[in-house]
Amino acid sequence: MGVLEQRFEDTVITTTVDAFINWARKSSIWPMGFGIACCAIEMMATSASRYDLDRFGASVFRASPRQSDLMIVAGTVTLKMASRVKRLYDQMPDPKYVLSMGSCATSGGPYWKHGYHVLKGVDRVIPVDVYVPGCPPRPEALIEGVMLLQKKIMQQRVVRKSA
Amino acid sequence: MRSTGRAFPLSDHSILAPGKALFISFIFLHFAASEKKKPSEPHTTGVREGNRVYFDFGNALIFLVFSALFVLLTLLISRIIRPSAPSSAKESTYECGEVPFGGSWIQFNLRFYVIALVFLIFEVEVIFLFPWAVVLRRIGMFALVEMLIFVGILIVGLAYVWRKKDLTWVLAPEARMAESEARPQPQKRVRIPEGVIRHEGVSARSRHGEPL
Repeated sequence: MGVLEQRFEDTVITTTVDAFINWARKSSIWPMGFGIACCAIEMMATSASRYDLDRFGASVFRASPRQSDLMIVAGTVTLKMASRVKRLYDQMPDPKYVLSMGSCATSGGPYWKHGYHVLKGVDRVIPVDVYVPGCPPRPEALIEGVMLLQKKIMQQRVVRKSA
Repeated sequence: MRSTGRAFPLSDHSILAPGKALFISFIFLHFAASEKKKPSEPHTTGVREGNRVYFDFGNALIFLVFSALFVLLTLLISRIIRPSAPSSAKESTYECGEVPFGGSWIQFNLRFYVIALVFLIFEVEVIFLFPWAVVLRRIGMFALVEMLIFVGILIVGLAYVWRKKDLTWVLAPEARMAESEARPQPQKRVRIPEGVIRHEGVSARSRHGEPL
């Protein structure tokens, strides 16, 4: 537990502080440069100039989990990769978020029935905040996912005690 | 809700906080430093107006103090605000999703050193050659002779390295024999116990197998 984390009652001051901190957090979501399959192509397009994910402060892709706030699981999570995904998630500093991009990461997608080697949804190894459907999702869909995550971040209770 | 904000120092909740803070403060300092200065007075020497020189150093001092304070303040704020959830995974040395094994003290061929040295010398030579080639016509014969001397010195070095057989990576059998006689016998390789590699729970071990 941090110094101020979840230690105060709801007052005008703490609510404002929380809103401020959440605003800062949601405005600088740094994703991890981490693409597993074809969804990663759409992820790259999203961060490039045409769709420009940077408008939402979420396009500073980091090369290390230690610098990342958001893990975009972009693609098919094979069983072999699942342990790596879990380890990478564990290495990310708190607070951390996960966006499951596309059918494969969400449920196994086309590999649901016969994919003996595919994890049926990345939420079986790490907690997922936002699911983005699609195979692969269009960049607009990924942007909406990031915006939903921002909404979720804005509802966090940082210095206030959890309800 | 639309966000227009950029990375904000207050969101430094991670181990990265120092990095972000430094980055931001550097950018800030850069802009501060590149601000238009007033047209300065004619150049005065330090001997005649020593105080003025000291005053100029004062600017640098203010920059130093300000940047140090800025970084410290950012670190302090993020330390107060951030959650704290330490775990062993966060402290492991490797960050590509693999389990690290073995020690980081590994052996590699000492001859890489000579190769790197030779490479560095000739790289520097090329760096010197490019600007020289640009101004060669303007300076003329003097530049040509100058560069010939410079390259000549390097060629002597190259000949020396060649003579010493440092340019051939695969040594001839007799040379290899001579080398292995000259150098002390290599120690027995330390074998990493199998469990260290296989066992997922172990994050890092020293080469002798005990936990780091």
